[in-house]
Amino acid sequence: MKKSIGDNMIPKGWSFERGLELTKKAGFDGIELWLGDVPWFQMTTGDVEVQELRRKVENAGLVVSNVSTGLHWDTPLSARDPKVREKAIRIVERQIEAAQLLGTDAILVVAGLVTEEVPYNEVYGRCVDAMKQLAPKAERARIKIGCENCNSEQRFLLTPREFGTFLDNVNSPWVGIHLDVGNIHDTGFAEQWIEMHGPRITRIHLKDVSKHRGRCGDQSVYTSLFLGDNNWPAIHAAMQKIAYNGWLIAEMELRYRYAKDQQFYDTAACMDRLTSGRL
Amino acid sequence: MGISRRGFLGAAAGGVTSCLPRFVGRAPWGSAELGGARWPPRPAEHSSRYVLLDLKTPLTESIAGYQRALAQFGDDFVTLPPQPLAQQSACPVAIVPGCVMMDLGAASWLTALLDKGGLVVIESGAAFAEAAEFLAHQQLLVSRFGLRVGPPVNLWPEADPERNAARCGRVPYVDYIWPAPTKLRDYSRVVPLAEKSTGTIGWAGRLPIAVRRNVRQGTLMFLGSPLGPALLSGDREAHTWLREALLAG
Repeated sequence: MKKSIGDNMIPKGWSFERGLELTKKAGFDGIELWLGDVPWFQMTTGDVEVQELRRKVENAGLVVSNVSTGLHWDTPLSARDPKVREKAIRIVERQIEAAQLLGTDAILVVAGLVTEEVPYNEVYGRCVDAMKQLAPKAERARIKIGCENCNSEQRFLLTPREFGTFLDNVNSPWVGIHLDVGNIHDTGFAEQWIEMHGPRITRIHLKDVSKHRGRCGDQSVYTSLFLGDNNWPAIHAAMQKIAYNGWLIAEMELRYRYAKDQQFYDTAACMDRLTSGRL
Repeated sequence: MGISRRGFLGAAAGGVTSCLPRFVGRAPWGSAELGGARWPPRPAEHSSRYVLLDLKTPLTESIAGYQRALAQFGDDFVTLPPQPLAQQSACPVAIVPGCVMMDLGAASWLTALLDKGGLVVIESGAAFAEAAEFLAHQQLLVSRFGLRVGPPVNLWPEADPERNAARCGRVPYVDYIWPAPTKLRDYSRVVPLAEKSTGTIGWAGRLPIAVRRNVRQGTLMFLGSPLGPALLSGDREAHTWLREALLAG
């Protein structure tokens, strides 16, 4: 399995090149690029500039593991306003285009957001429709769309069976799950999600979760690897069980307050321990 | 068949609803069979009771929702673009889902239908339209149907669309008082009536957003909060409300 980390983890004020250098030095094989979350990769970034990003990544001895985005939190595919939905679709299309330019084969999408205002059934229908609309485009580009399980934040597709039914309804081998083992909280067990989704997993996000903390103000339930409640030996075993050999991508919510580069080294070391099974 | 319109509706409310869609599909209200005489016999070339007017609005879920609902009711309906309406001269009920703009031909067809005693249901989709389109919508409603509506209202101005929307605390329902008290999901942005008037049938808080009134010889129903998406998502109460509203006319 290969190790990657998001470019949104690069400390603020650092250049992309400096961040890549740190990523390589810390022992990662690749980098996840976050469309809209970092100054160097926005919706307005043109094809030539995207190709330039790829050149910088490769010059640093890395590859792009996948293209993610946080833009769908503000511009959800499940919005009631058709104009917002159009924008959301365009974001995914741009991810697909960028992924091709960057030489990777997977993107992460936050598919749908249930709120007090927009109820579950509406969100479900719109997301199935959106994915059905996008799947042929993904297929033509040979890019897999991974819908992330942001269970608590999305309040959507809360169980692995439910997520499986959603993917069944979309019914395309080009739409799968970008599985985040930290997002399951106390409503389930990451290893069971891994086991159940098997070949439909496009990428795996790694972070740990303090299941009993609860989100409050700026407190986060998410924490660095091995500090939380995830059963890492079971997660490792589940990945072995399904013969997962794809990318593992670190996604930390909390950043180190001091010695910010140290988080890269520590995270890479934890991922090495995880993949080696020495837990 | 000696049954009055009131009796018929009473029976509908009394629990024979499983039989209604087929029955209604065959015997339109106002026909001689039901004791009324407001609607002439339908010509042979057109047998659908309902016309769904497809104005190709951005609110595509609306028309899909009505299609789903009418199909589930077992009612015969046809979905038509505005152009061939002139040939569809006889249909007792027209529904305009997600209405924003409408050409003169379609508007004239609807007013002619009202002149013949028909029912026109206009569901506004204009709360999501651009300002200029909304003005056209407003003018259309007042000039053709005598209905004055106010500017769109966002019912969820405080809602955080992201992670902590649960803090908003808004009750997300429109209260319909006709044909039966019913709570249905609001659709975030609504087109309210310009003033409270007789015939108001739905309220979002204190905002009147649905009305049923006699216009010309027929009945106009205006829904300022789209219902179609709820119908499409399978909302039970939305289906029941629509069925009862269409039966009551």
